[in-house]
Parts: sequence; structure tokens; C-alpha cells
Amino acid sequence: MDLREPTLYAPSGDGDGAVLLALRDPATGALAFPRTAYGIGASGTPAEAAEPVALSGRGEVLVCVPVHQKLSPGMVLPLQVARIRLDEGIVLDGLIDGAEEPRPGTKVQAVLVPEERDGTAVLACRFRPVGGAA
Amino acid sequence: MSGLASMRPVRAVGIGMHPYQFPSETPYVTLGLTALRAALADAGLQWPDVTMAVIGTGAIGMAAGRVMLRHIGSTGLEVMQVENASASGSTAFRTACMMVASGQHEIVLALGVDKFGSGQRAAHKDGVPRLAPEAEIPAVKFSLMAKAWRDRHGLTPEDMARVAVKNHGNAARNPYAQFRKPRTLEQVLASNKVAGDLTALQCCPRGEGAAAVIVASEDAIARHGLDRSRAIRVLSSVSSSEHAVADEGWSLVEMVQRSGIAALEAAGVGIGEIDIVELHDAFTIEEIVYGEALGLCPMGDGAARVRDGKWDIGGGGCAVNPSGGLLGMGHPIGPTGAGQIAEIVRQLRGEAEGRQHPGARTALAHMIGLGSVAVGHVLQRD
Repeated sequence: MDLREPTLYAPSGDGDGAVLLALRDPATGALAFPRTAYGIGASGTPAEAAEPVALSGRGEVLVCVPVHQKLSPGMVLPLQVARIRLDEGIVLDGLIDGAEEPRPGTKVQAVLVPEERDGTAVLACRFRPVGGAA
Repeated sequence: MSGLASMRPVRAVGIGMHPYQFPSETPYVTLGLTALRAALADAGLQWPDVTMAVIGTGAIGMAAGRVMLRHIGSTGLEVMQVENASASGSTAFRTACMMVASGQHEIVLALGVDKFGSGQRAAHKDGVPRLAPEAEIPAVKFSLMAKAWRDRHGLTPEDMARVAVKNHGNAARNPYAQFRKPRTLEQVLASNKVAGDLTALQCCPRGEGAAAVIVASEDAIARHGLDRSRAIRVLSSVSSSEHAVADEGWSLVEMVQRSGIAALEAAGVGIGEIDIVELHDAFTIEEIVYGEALGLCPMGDGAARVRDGKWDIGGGGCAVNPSGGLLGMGHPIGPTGAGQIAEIVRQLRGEAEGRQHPGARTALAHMIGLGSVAVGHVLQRD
């Protein structure tokens, strides 16, 4: 099955786990996710001077809310949106795997889950609670 | 950053509005010219007296100014169009102020006008896929902020709903507002749930409208014999954008704090001297968080200030969004920031009939635009 956004994530090789595709500045260690052709905003480093790295996909939930209404075409409810701090320090927004609302501090792992997009089954990235709080 | 402190004085001499309303078949030219003619009449000026027009719009398209203004007269004036998302009208006003302050022009029009558009954004064209595009929907983004404030500061759904009650109540007394109906706490809480604790009546409406402000130099005021007692001084004008911050991604809050401080410092006034704040309350949580960030109260105390009525008109403190804010007055994008200025000028003149904040002398207009950018102005009557 194809990935929904293959430039953003890839299988980790551990079950349905995923890694996130990022750039790293070799000089400063600054990270940028997603990996783009534009470079690293935190350090101004162009993409050509940065190294591609894979982030673990592990992190903790900072805050999470349920979406109650279909707010955009293609949105499927129930939906839990979370702000997550990855173990590598990057803060990003992601979707939770499942209908339960994880509490702040809940550890999560990026996983690849099947979903239908424009009539085609694809693998999308979600964050699955893995038990335990920070 | 301000520039105004070291330049010649600028005063707002005329204001005019087309009421904000739900999307209609009314051409934008009608909206804009209604506001413009009202501003000219308010100032006591004729159209040929204006030598530059700065048009703020988000959705109308190229050359909105000339297409509109030729219907009131092609006088050869300089025309500029600015787009700065929700801060387009604020940026038009800032540009107008700078043009007068720098001596480029004597009398300049800032006019925000918009129709409800496609919502097309540059962020959709940057070629960068999003991990969770759902999180970029404003209602979702601000419900996350609300939940974070709930976790940090004990904010309740009722605390947020009270902001909507206050601002819908103010809008009910504002003839230019899109929503003219007071709402109870029960009505706000019982309206459709959108995301997290946000309900429909805690989200600003989509709409259209226009707001015009004419600014002038002291020389122009004297030359045209304008009523100086109604001419409100613009003390500062600042504009900035987000810094990257490590605080759980709430760089928006840091931007509001930083730009608010910059606007006050450039004006030479403290937050304690501010009688009125018009700020970006597209969602109820924003008024609480930005009120705290601007220094109206310590971080975490915003809900208490709403609860004890300190941010009400005549509440004994600084009135926040006496116009009704984006929640009640509306948020047609291009006009919104110019509409904030028009409301403040009306309040500082003592002409806000039915919703006048007693004794108002100094006010802050603070606007945010997608991206994010912030634009702040401090105005004061003599």
C-alpha cells in the first residue's frame, strides 16, 4: 500500500511504526521537519548543506482536542488532533490513532494506519499512545 | 520600530464604515464607497483633498482600489493595495500613517474592503505537505490553545463563553456590527460544538464590509480648517512577525506580547494608561490569552478579568473589544483592522453612542494576520 505523504514519513521496520523524515544542520544540529527543498528555517541552512535524517516518531502529547464537526472536505470523524513534542525536541501537530483523547504527557509513537483517500487505500501517519506518561 | 515618534504628528481626522454583514450580492465598490463617503463627510474633506489611498483587501483581487475609486473621481492620486491577511486593514492604516508622518503626503485614506473569498492561501502553494492539515484549520488550532490554557491555568468552558457573551453584547449596541443580538451564557455554551471546548458562537462569522480612516498632518488640519478636537493622534505604529520559540509552539502568544510592548513603548505609554483595547478575538480563547500577553493582567488571570467585568464597557478597567470584536462586529478580513481604528477614534472622541467607554483617552489597536504577523497602533485624544 502506498504512503499518503511519502516525503514526510517512512516505515520504521518495527511493526507498523513510522519514522519522520527531517533535515539536520551538521554544523549546529538544528532540525527541520518536514524535510523540504528550502532548507532549515531555524539556522537558515540551505537543503544542499543539510543532511537527511529520520526522527524516531516517539514523543509525548502536550495537548489534544477532539474535532466535533467536519471542518474540511475529506475530514473523517471522530478525530483527535494533538500537539506533540518529539523526543528530538521538535514540536508538531499530528492526528491520534483511535478515538480516545490522550492526556498531556502521554507517550506516543508514530504509526502507519490504512485510510481511504480519494477512493484509494493508503497508509497515513498517526500517533498511537504507547502507555505511560512522561 | 515605530518611526512615528521621530516624525511629524499624524492624526485620524475622518472615519466611515459600511456595516459588516453576511456574504451578499452587494458589489465591493458599494461597500467601499459607502465607507469612503462617510469618512470624507466625517472629516469635512472633499475627495480631491486626498492625495493617496491605501487599500487593504484579502480576497477581491488586483487593482481593487482603482476599480472602486474611479467611481468617486479619477483625481490622479497615488493608489496602493496591501494584503496582509487579517491585518490588511491595519497595514493599510500603518502605511497611510507613515506616508503622512514622512512628509510624502498631507492627507491619506486607509480603506479596508472585502467580500467573502475563496480562502486561498499561500500556504497551500508552498509545495510542502502537512502531517496534519486538520490542525491548521483555525478553529482546531485555537481549540488546542484553549485546551492548553485549560490545562495550565484552569480555564473553564464557561470562562471562554463569557467572552462571547460580552462581545456579542457590545456588538448588539454597534450599528456597524454583523451580529446585533445579545447572547446568554447558556446560548453560547449550547451552540454547536466545533472543536475542543469551542462552540459556534465562540467563533467569528464570515462576512463582508468596509472601513475607512483618513489621516492628516497638522498642516493639513490647519489648512483645511478641520475640527482639531475630533482629530485623534496616532502615537505609534508597529508591525512584526513570529519568532520561533520553544514554548510548546505558542509563538503566536510571544508575538502578541512582543508587538504589544513595542507599540506601547513607541507611544511612551504604559498598559495601565490604556483605556480601550481592540484585539483579534476570532475565537474566544484569543481575547483571554492576548489580553494576558498584552499585559492587561498577569498570565492566567484573563478569565478572571472577564468574569469580574473589568474588560466590560464601563467596567472600571480597560474595555476590551467595545466594538464587539471579531466575534460580534465581524471579521471580513480586509476591513477588520481599519474597523478597529474607526471604533477607537469614535470612542476617544466620545461619540460611541450606546456603547461609550467613559473617560477613554488612550487606546491600543492590536491585530494579527495569518502567517503570523502582528500590527499595533496606539491612539490618544488631546
